[in-house]
Amino acid sequence: MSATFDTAVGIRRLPGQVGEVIDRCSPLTFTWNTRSYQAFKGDTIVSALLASNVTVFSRSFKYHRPRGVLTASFLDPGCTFQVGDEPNVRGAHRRVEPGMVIRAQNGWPSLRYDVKSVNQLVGRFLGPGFYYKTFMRPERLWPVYEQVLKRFASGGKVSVDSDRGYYDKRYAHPDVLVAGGGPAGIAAALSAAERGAEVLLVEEEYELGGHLRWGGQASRSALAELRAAVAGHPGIEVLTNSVVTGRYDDNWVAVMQRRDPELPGGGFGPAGSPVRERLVKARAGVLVVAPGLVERPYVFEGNDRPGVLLSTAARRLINLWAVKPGERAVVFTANADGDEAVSDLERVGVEVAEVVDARRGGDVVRATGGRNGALSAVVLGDGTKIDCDVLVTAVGWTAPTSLLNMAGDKPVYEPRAARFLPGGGLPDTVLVAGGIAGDGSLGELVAHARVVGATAAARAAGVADPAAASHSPALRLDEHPALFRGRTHGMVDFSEDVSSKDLVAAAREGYDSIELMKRYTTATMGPSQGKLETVNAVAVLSEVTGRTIEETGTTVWRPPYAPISLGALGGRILEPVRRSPMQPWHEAHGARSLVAGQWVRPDHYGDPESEVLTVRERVGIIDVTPLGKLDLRGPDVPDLLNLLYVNKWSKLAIGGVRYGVMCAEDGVVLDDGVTGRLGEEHYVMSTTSSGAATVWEWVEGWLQTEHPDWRVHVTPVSTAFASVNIAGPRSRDLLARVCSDVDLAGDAFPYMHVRSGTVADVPGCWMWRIGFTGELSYEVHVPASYGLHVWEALLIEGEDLGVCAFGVEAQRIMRLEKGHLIVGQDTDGLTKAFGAGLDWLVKLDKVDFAGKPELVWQEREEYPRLVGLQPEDPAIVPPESSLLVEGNRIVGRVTSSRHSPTLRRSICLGFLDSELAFAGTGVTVLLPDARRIRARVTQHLAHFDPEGVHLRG
Amino acid sequence: MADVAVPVARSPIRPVGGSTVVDGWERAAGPPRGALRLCDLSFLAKVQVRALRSGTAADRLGTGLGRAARRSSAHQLVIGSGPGEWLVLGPQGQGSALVEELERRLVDASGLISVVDLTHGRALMRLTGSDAVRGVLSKQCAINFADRVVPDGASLRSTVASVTTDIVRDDLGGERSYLLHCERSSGQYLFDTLLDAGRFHGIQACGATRSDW
Repeated sequence: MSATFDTAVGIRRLPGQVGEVIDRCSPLTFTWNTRSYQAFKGDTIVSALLASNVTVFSRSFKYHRPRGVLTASFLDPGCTFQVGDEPNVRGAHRRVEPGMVIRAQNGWPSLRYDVKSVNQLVGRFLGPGFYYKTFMRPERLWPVYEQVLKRFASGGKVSVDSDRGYYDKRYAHPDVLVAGGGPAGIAAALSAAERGAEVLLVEEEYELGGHLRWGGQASRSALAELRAAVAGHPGIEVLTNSVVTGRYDDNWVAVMQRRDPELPGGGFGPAGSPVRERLVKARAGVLVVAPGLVERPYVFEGNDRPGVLLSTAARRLINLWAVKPGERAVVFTANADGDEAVSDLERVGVEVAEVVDARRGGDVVRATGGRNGALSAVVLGDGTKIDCDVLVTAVGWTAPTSLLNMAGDKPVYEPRAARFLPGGGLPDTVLVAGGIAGDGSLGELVAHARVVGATAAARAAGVADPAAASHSPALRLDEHPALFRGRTHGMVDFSEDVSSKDLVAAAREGYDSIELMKRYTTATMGPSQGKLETVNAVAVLSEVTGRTIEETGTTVWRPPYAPISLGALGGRILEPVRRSPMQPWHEAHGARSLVAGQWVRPDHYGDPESEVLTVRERVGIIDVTPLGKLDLRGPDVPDLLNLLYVNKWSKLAIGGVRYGVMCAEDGVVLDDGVTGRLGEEHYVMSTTSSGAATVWEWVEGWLQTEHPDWRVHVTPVSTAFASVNIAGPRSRDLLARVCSDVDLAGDAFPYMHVRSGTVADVPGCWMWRIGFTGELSYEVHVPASYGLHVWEALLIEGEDLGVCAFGVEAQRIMRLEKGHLIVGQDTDGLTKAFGAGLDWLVKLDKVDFAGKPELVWQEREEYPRLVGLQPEDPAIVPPESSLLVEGNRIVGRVTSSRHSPTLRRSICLGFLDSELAFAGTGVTVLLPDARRIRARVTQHLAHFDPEGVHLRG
Repeated sequence: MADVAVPVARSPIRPVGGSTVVDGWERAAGPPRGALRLCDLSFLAKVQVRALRSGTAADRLGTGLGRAARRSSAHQLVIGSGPGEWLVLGPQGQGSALVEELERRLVDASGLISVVDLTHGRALMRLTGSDAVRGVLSKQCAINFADRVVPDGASLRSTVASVTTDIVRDDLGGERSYLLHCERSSGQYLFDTLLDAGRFHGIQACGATRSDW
């Protein structure tokens, strides 16, 4: 089987390599641009395509130049694909899976014949600032420009029908978090774990090992030992295919964990786990930054042609995926990794036509291409032209210092090594290890990292730092030639199509600060986010300005280090919903639900107007469990009530109930409700459903900050009681059938009173005689576990009375008929108590209460007033928020409106300027469809039973 | 009265795997199973005590903020749930008796004392299992549940899946276990959310047994 596929799976596929990660016994098929291809398990999309001799993977962002493999890693700017309905997949990193449907992005009508490649011909006009300069004027044409420019935008497509996927989230609290699973990261993790630390080891690749994975026998042996040690240590949790995307205050570290199709459950748990990505929110004791180094491209003409690639890319392709990069190569090397690439290429049969050694003055000037744009020859510094299909460059390294920047450090440029190093500004809880800290042999790097790990464990545990005592071995710094741009201009930012010529032009236009240049040219702002191009951009700018790289500085690296999907940021949808004990009954009886606040409530049971008429004529019950309820105990409760409500409370008798309105300190209505006195020092305050939490905080705030001397305990009991309002002329009859220990007669239990008793054999119930609907009604609060029992008992007992359940909509109609306001609907963030028509309630002769100073002021001023409104045409119900106008002047708005089934006409409440807020005044209502209708101000807010005859039963 | 059924108290959490009525409470009938289990204990008596955070009352309650202590003789768990605030859990049906007993016990303590029966106003569940329990909680709660931070007997208030929740580490026979206590109306949501978080850890919803309490 393996022998068969060895040849079938691609003409560039090499015989078995010692360190390869592909499983030749597991072939698979996938689709690339509608054609079927074969791969092995373990292949990336790009390695599989390259093995089949596909060398062009995309068109570049601006000029639509053909692009091939450059880094053969996550960062590869030319290898971004549409996979199924997932856009912008990093194809040089993502492992290919059976049946994958992969398409090229940014090429139309096809990757090969891309019409937009015409941009290359007009490239000279597409320099930096082209968009800013060209599309500014005339301003009125911007919508047209926008539509056209959208068509040139790169990137994949997201379908509205896309599977939303399962994105997970978890919190973690490792003692030590190691960012980077190369040899240094592994060593640091092991060392920390050996000292008892809980370690989270995060590696961006699919396996631990870093550069050891594509190294020689010695590297592989060392890696095997390190991996075995990690596997054997229970104190280390390893996350592969994961990346630390940001470090925030106090070592709050975000880790993006991606799915690995080859691990059970994709790496997210047992088989079958559907998790696509997981955002790990880690609070690390100590963060060890060990990301290794990123190989830097060389800037010269044609450096973005397919066939030009980095030495690490060539070595990864050969050693990890057994793919031959080409047939004839030129290698431009300035370091040992370039030399190793020469060895690897020769070993697998690639003809190395020329090794150009930068250490001996060698240079490459130009890469030329054939008809398909791919590399066909290289022109060297001495003018020699060499035919080849591969050019490997090894010109140096970029230290990915993002996490150091995020930790407050300012890395410094070291000319001797031609790269940036930590600047010494790190907090004690952030340490560095590996290539980002310095150079050394594998043994030296591991030894250094072990000390770093030990230090991290000690600092996390808050014990003495052994490194300080043992003088941690400092890493040396090897000399490296400073190679950034050759004598020709080439691409600097491969993601954004920004060339060195563009940067020079920008600098000459005055954008000679690296931060300004970045924003003007968009260099470093593409998907690779500066990891490949920042240092080259800085070097080009320093060339133009004559400043050194140290003087030029770098752009600031900010989170995220790597892209995060919106799905992962959203994570699991945790939107709490609250349910009353009777909610199952509502759902079983056809209630149409609404969500108010977090509460799921029955809006109606099919015909809210019929529900209204039943209540007006007979009796109905409504589930009002969401009403806020605060249990108040203590001798100073009256003082509290007097402080928080605008009216007086000192003389509320036991068994009495009083309506109250709370205002904030600015006099704006905060909430309303009734409070009853159950005992000598025992009260229950009710609040609006949506205001329950706010009022609790408000009450506790006053008690804890202003009056800690008051002896009052507040306990929220909103859901300790299921609440049912029994409303209608037969409500007393119905309640009497289920309650035998309370005298319900009108004079024994009058309006605005409270009693305790037994309802449907459930003791410990409260009954309030109040009425939001305007009918005789009783609000019954029963221990919540018995809510459904009492609810069903009322329906059974009231069957011959014609009882019905009514929902929120019917209640809203009836309260509007009665003219009862709803805080938040008939008031807003500016409505003070007088404006809400609460003059009768506000007692300015009280010594003090919350909001009094503002209300004293408002009483003397003109202000819009809440009024009842009656449209002249009784059939028209002005939508809520319709404007009230006088000519073209806005004089108010409708706050509530409904058709009243009781009165058989439309009814409204609204705010109206004070000079018009008198009974009988005619006003014009401007409807959303621009019609104007007339309405008149009514005598009372109540349209129904303003005298309260029904209410008092 | 017409033929109205005998009152049955119902938990805010829908019974999983069938139900049975035990002494007037509807309870899940499913037997305990699985290495990772979630069961509803809302039927337990739950009483809140408010008093001065230190002094006679605190001494008599026997535990302080952030800790939970068992009174084995009375089958009570006293939890220091907030500053000057305790939650006392007791056997099913003992809410009123527990209120009376606590009021008696604290009658002469200094400062304002209030004892409120919250049995019907709160949901209570128990999450039990091995280390997987931490895995489940770590998806919903930002607290570090390492042993050194939240040892057996520790209590804390945090948000779990965005719901304010009292969490008590209350191991069962050496097995890691947590009590989660929230206001009643969010009980079903919290229960469902924990099941969802634990679905790939093999979590099982089950009925409570004597050993769960």
